[in-house]
Amino acid sequence: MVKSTKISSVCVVIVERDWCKMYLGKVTAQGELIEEPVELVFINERDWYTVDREGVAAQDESIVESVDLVKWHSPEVMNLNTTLLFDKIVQEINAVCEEKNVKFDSVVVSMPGTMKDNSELVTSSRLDITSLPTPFPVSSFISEKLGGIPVRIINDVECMLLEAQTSLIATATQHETIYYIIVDEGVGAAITIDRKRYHGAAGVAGRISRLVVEKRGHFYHKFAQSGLLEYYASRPWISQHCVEGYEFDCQTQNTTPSKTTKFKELLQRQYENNDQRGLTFEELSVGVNDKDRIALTCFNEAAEYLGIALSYIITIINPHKIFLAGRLITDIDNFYDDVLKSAKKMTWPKAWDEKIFTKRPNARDDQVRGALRFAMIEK
Amino acid sequence: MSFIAIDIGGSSIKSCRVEQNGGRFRLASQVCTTPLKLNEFSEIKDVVLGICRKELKDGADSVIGISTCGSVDNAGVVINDDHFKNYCNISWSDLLVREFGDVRVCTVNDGRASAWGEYSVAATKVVTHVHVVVGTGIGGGVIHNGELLSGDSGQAGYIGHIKVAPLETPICGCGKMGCVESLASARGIVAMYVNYSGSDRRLPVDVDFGNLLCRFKEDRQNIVDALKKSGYWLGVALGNVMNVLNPQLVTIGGGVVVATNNVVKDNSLGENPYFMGVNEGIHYAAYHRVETTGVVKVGVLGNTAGLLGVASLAFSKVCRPNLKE
Repeated sequence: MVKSTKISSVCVVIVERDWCKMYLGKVTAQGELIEEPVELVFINERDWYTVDREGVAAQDESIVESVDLVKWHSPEVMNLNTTLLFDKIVQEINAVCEEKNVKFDSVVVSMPGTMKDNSELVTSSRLDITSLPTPFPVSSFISEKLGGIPVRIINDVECMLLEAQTSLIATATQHETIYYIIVDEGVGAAITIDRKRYHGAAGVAGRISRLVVEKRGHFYHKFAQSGLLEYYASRPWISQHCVEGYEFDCQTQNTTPSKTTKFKELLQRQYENNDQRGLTFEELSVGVNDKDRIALTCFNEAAEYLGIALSYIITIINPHKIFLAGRLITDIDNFYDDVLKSAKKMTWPKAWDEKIFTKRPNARDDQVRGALRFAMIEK
Repeated sequence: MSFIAIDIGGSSIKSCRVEQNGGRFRLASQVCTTPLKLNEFSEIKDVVLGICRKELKDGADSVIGISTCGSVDNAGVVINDDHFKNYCNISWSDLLVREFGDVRVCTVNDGRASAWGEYSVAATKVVTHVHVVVGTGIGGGVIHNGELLSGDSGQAGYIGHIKVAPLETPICGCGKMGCVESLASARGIVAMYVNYSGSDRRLPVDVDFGNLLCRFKEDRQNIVDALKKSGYWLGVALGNVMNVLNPQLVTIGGGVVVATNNVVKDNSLGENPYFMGVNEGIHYAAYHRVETTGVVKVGVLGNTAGLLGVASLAFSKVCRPNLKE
């Protein structure tokens, strides 16, 4: 069979809660990347806010005030105005085509959430789009506004998995069941079974952020459940637990603890600013490197619960490969090793095989490259 | 064609002849149950050899399906079982060929065999079907796209070793704490009952699941509480299985299910307390969309799922190895 030699220009749009990036990639019909993807646009948090405020203002003045107060991604605003998000994407794609004089053959939107048939968005709790009456037809919405260019959407972690899976094919290793887990701002995951992406009955298979790992755990209002993994093993919540630990120390010692380390200073700053979830990955890393008691306790707890979740996965589907990625895994010293130790402790010994684990260094690179491959190979 | 089907459980061995006709499998003889007393492999071996000897003499075809407790690798070797002494690294195929010559043997973990049995008789074949077997221990299997999921080391679906309460339970046979098997199996229910009844003097020293249910009228409240609580822990485990796999169908079978349903019937209880607990646990642990899209129900084959399942697997693996299960 003669392989098609056509090379397509694909626009990849990575949508996150607080930012958005666009890339240009050149891909063959077989899904092979012929050059490294090029970043075209980075829309930061501030611009996301501004644009959406303007968008909302254009539609409904009465919402504007509340938007100023509650930020653009409050569920009320997003569910009413999901179109704003995708309008903004269309606007940016048109702008980049004009500015950089590029033309795209297709567009892939990679974002957190549940999708139907890679064309409609069902829900995205991370983007606070949680109660759409019917799935939002992202593909046709964007495609129509871009003059009919094919547009597809895909879950962010599925892109990462697709790229990681490709790296395994390159080594000619047989891996039928693969799990990709990202531990970062939240906990996300995706599975392939029999080398095919697996979604389950409602399209939410593998979402380990919702695993109950602590029966007496905190009640998570967003998901109406207690003791969920994400509450223990994601950056915002680890930050919150650290600041709460500091607050507790202040209260029990009835005075502000002496600032002996840089991390204590950071904790005090967050405490005084009442921004419990605001410690960055770098700042959390400072706590671990300082061997700060509070930071180490919170990270030990995170590793323990992530280990429990991994033990569930190994016991239930006994995957051939588990990829662990995300900045908590890659940026925090010893965290990956601690997670594996905890998983080993919790897992049925017959099913334990440390060789199935691989640390992926850059989940976002995986996402972009996976999205480009997806544009071609899974049409 | 008829098969010898043998189901080695934690407390007894069941056996019967299974017939295959036009792709359908049915029990062709009465199920014979042999209780086990010694918890040793030598006892299992004697019983299995006795069954095969008799059935082969009576004209059964030389295909033997063995559904067994314990871990079974992808080659059909029993790696080990925590319940029976010396039941490790046993190849039933080698053993039975040595004894009887030209026989073909298929050995499968009992949870998987039961899962396959339930899947085979399900009216509608779903993409992902999870089956859990509650007996002396807890086992299970996952069928995805018409095939049993085996996993990297052949250990997928061993649901009994899901950790639900790591710090609060006796040590499981696997050497770890917190396995759902130690809380929700027949043994777990008995332990839960002992816990509820406290220093109750009426409790026999050698209480087991069978005589526990016989005491239902005498100590109804404690038994109902124990069943509910044990069921709850199974529900928590299943809720997390559902979160990972988001299956269309979950079925529950095994000796505990059959026995508790009988108690419900005999005592005119409205609902099985064990299942009330299971539903509560699932509701607690499963993500709402997962819970609402997965059907959870009792398996239809009762105690015979393992026998029918292993016969069907033996047919696929031994008689028609190139055929997809």
